[in-house]
Amino acid sequence: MHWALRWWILLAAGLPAFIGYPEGIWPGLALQGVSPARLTHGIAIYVLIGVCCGGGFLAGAVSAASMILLPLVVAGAGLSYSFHLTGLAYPGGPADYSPHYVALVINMLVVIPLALSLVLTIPFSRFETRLLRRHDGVTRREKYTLMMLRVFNHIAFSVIPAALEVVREERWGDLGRRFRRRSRGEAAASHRMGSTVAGLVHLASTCICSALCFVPLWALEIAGLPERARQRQKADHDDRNAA
Amino acid sequence: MSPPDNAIRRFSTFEELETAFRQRTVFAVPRQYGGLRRFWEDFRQLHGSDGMDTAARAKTAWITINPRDCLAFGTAEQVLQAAVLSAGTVPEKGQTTVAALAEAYDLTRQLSQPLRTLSGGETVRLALAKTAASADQIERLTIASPFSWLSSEGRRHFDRLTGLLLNRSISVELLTLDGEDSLEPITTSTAWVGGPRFRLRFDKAAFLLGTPLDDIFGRQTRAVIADFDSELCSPCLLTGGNGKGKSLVAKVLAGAIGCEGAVGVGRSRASGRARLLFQDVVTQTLMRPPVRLAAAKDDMAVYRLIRDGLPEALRALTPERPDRGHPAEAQSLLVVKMLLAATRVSDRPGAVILDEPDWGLSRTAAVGLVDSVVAAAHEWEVPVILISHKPWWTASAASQVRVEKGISGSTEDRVRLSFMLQVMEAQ
Repeated sequence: MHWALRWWILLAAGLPAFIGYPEGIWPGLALQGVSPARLTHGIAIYVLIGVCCGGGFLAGAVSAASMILLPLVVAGAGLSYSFHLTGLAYPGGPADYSPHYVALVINMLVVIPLALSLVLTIPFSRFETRLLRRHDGVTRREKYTLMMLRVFNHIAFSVIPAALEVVREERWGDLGRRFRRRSRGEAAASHRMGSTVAGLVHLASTCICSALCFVPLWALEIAGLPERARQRQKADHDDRNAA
Repeated sequence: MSPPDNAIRRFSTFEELETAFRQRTVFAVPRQYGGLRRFWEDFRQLHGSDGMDTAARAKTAWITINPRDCLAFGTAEQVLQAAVLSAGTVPEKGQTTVAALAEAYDLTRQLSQPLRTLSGGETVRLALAKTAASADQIERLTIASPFSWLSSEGRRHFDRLTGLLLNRSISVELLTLDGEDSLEPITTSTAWVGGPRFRLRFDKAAFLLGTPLDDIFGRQTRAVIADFDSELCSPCLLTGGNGKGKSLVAKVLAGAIGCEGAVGVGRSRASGRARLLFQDVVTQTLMRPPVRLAAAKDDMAVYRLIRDGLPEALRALTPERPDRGHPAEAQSLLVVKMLLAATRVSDRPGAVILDEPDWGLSRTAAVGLVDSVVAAAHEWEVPVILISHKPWWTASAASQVRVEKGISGSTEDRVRLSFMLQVMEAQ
């Protein structure tokens, strides 16, 4: 499937998720705060992303969405509960605000993978190659474009895969297993748990560092690419006029 | 042609080499070892007024100790295209020049591969090819430690480039670690005798090379490891030339790459997974806080075993208690490798894999470290697998397995790459 066709299909099907659902189509509630139309649309979007982008991509996108929304939802629900306890809001307790958070979870679980699939389905690496294949030089605008493409492609094709390799080798995904470990004694198991959590937290900050690490090098090399002759002539002409 | 002796500088530690390299070249990449504080200090400096001026930068080429750090683009083709474009080669011959460079440095099949998936030796060849493209523009080349990556077959590419540059009166400066370029096997150590026997098994092992994004664009390559089931003796040497898949096989064994089929290593039924020390421990540590040992007994006990097994001169360079109070920048590469090895051996995995353990170390330090890690692992009854393209370990290893790579044209199940393991006869 051509990438542009894939992109338009995802955008057309996913538009209700961005602009608001036609809730009235299907009355009632599938879950607290979630209409059947929204839930059905969400499931359909998942199927579509799986077909267009592959199951592996879908799994990664859902993982990313979960990691983003979990702290938000947990912190938000905790804050709401504290308001209830202090009497500032939600006199009815969790029943008052839980529909909001359920709807938020469903919404984010649909919107984030959809947005990721819309962005990542664009072949940015091909654009990069095409820009560099020009024999007559590169314009300034193309240099800026190259820089942005470089950052994006580096994160998508280098930083994230490298981080995942380290996580897999360190088995930082095995939090459940570490909870259940008894063979090495509690001290060792709790240390492993602590180091796993600390490692995952630090992973986020080092991914940012890895993403930015080569920016000066890219700037140096991209700036060194020759400018296209037409732009050079224009620059010379402007200099002469100014003089 | 090799650089003349007066153009070769030898260092005993990674840190000394890196410092000297940064003094001689453009300071373009912040240091990724030694913690976040050092990283951000370097990053801020890069945006300041320090460093070479533009004219000097344009005339200087460099190849970093990790060759990926000097390549600015995502694929081999892009790197060469940018180099050819910057060099101002005749436009209508630009594409031919990229192809000619790729052919000259044995990179024709790797042109469309992302840099991350190239082996260390292939990456060095790419850096050499890039430098060759800019030979008309530069006045000086500084290379750091290429022999940690290049196999003996790959050294002819290095000699080709240095010959090209020296013939044009372009100065070549080579910074290496002591003994790094040696091809002499090490003498047999007693620690390597009587190691545990273990089983290595691959059964219908298949995996995908590339990211899920590559799958969207149909770029993922399916790879298989030919069925293999053999009993081996520790330490086992996994050997083969550059780009044959040694590190890939290691990552599959360690679970760093997801794999279908049955993959196992271990003493009894080969049902365990391995733990791995990457060749590039800088990437493996991901600039995280200093590698810590568990408060529980095992990690520290293994670290002490490793440290006590080092030669005295090396032991003096390592802390007795590498625990709290040692910032990341105080942890040398040797100490980081010891700590990573200790945490892995104490896990009692099916095997511990040391991928090119000599990277970033002088020959003396590498031999001392490997000797000590093997002894400690054997005491804990953990088998050791060494990966190396160098002939250093061939005479000492208790068993050897050679890795070869093949390309399959089968379209039935899209198999494109296949890796074969073969047990070598004892020498």
